[in-house]
Amino acid sequence: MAKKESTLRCVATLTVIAVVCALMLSVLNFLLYVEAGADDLVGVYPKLDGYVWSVEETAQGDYGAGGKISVVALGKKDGAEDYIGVIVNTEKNGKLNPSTYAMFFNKSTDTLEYAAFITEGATGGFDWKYAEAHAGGDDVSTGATALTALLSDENATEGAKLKTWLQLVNVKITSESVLDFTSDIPKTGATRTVTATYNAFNMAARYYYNVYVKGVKS
Amino acid sequence: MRAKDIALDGLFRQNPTLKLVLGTCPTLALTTLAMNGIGMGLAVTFVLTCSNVIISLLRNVIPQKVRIPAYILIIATFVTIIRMLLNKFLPDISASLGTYLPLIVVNCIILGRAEAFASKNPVGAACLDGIFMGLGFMAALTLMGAFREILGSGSVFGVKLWDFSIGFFTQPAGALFTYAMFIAVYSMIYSAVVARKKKSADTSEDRSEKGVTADV
Amino acid sequence: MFKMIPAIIFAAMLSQNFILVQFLGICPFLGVSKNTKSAFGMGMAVTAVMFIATLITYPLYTYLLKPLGFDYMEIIVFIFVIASLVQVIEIILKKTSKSLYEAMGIYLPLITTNCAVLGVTELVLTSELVVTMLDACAYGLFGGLGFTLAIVLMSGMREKLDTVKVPKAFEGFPITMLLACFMAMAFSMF
Repeated sequence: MAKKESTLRCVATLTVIAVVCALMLSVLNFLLYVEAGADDLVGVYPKLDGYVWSVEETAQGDYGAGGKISVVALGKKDGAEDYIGVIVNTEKNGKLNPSTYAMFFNKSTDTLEYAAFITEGATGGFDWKYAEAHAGGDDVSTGATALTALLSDENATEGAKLKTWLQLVNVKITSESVLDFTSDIPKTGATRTVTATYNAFNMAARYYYNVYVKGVKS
Repeated sequence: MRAKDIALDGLFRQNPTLKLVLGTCPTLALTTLAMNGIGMGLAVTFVLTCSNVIISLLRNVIPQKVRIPAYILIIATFVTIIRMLLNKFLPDISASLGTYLPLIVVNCIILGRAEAFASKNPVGAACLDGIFMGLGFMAALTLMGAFREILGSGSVFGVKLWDFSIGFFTQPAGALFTYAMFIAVYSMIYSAVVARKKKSADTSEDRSEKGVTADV
Repeated sequence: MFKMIPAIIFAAMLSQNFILVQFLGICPFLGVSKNTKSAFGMGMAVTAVMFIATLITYPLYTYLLKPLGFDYMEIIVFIFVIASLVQVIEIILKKTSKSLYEAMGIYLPLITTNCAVLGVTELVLTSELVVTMLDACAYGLFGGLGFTLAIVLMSGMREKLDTVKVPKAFEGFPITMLLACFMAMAFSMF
């Protein structure tokens, strides 16, 4: 009898503790809930000033290797076109630390309009001197500027590689064009930053195509 | 038990990282940067202090048989709370701690102190023990983080010192090497201090409070 | 469907080895690696729990907690699943296989607080390699085997170490960690 009673007491104590803990967490969750990173999209693309971003549920699926789609958000503004913002986190690649990219798709034209770094993991992996030499400007202090400088450089090999990739910006995303995004990443000579950028473009475009063009929520 | 004893135990004599060798996983994984040591140290101090207080309060209520599951439930709750707080107010720290933040639940320091100290002592002492054990952990992690950051990245707390750096110290192997050296240096200092105390004919006993060792 | 599997096997066992690269499960690695037999027993027990735990927590999170908005309960639910799982396995082993229970039984209670187990259930939620349920289970299984590999190799070296004299300050943990340091160099070179 005594044994039974103590078992009952054990179960009761555990249950009470579990319920109290769960209740406490629910209240705190209500007070402290953080929307997954849609704030990071604000102010990245200057054209979209004043847009309000709301997080969309990220559809599960395989959108390519080298990174992960962390946030997908719908941007709205009165009297303006809707945009889809996609944040891609690329993996650590050798010396290059993980980077975060923001990609913006115009929903009415289905084009990728703008891409930029939010944080660049270039510690030790990105050749700043190279970017500086080819940018022609002084301001290469941020990853986004340096990337833009590389992209706009006609002569540089790295720049040229990214340039062909950049041609995909403003391309309507269709069943054909999405194949361009998924074509092989050139291995030779590409710096890790270039590879990471390819991956980010790649994943965002495939995601957009699957979810918003084809409309398949897997 | 005097407050001074508890403080000295946590910070030096029974330092969780260097003497008890508990909570080794985050110690090795996160000490690439000094800042991580502060972040992880604060998170552990918070969880340890809160769980110590609650467990000490409930020490006569929780039946002996189910004490471990009960402790784990309480600890997991506080870990979830600190995760929510960090996500909300310090998202950068939360991101740099990554998977090791939820893993505080299974950090041997916390369960170890719950079992060895909080379940046997009054609330005040348990609270102090949590604070100082946490601070001792934080101090060790921050020192190791600073050491590895200076040698491995040529900076400390993110401030660049020079261009010279040894990549080895940012690698996993560098973590193990650094930890081994820190324990060795610590035990040399420790035995020197003990020897000196003995010499001064101080008969105060070395409070042995083994509790859970790293074998768990 | 299977295309991520080779990458997962390689990463989980070697290049992202749980012990030597991610530093999950260091406590048993230092504590139960004194002889090869117990190291192997511990490794197998951890592998079993890691595999089954992922098999339960991954769908639980993906199809139940997340859609219902209870993802903040993740830590509590996961540790509860692991603790219960360890209990259940212990009871089943005791009832069905005496020899297996004798080989693994004593390590089971230590597994609840093993970072590698809770670690793998958390990692598969964020890892880039894990897309499907199958990937998650493969990650759990091969992560466990990588754990076994590291702990068995370590035990072999420690058996030799017993016969060697080391400086006093390096006795115990420091010399073991230095050994692990050399192993980590080899593993992280992948």
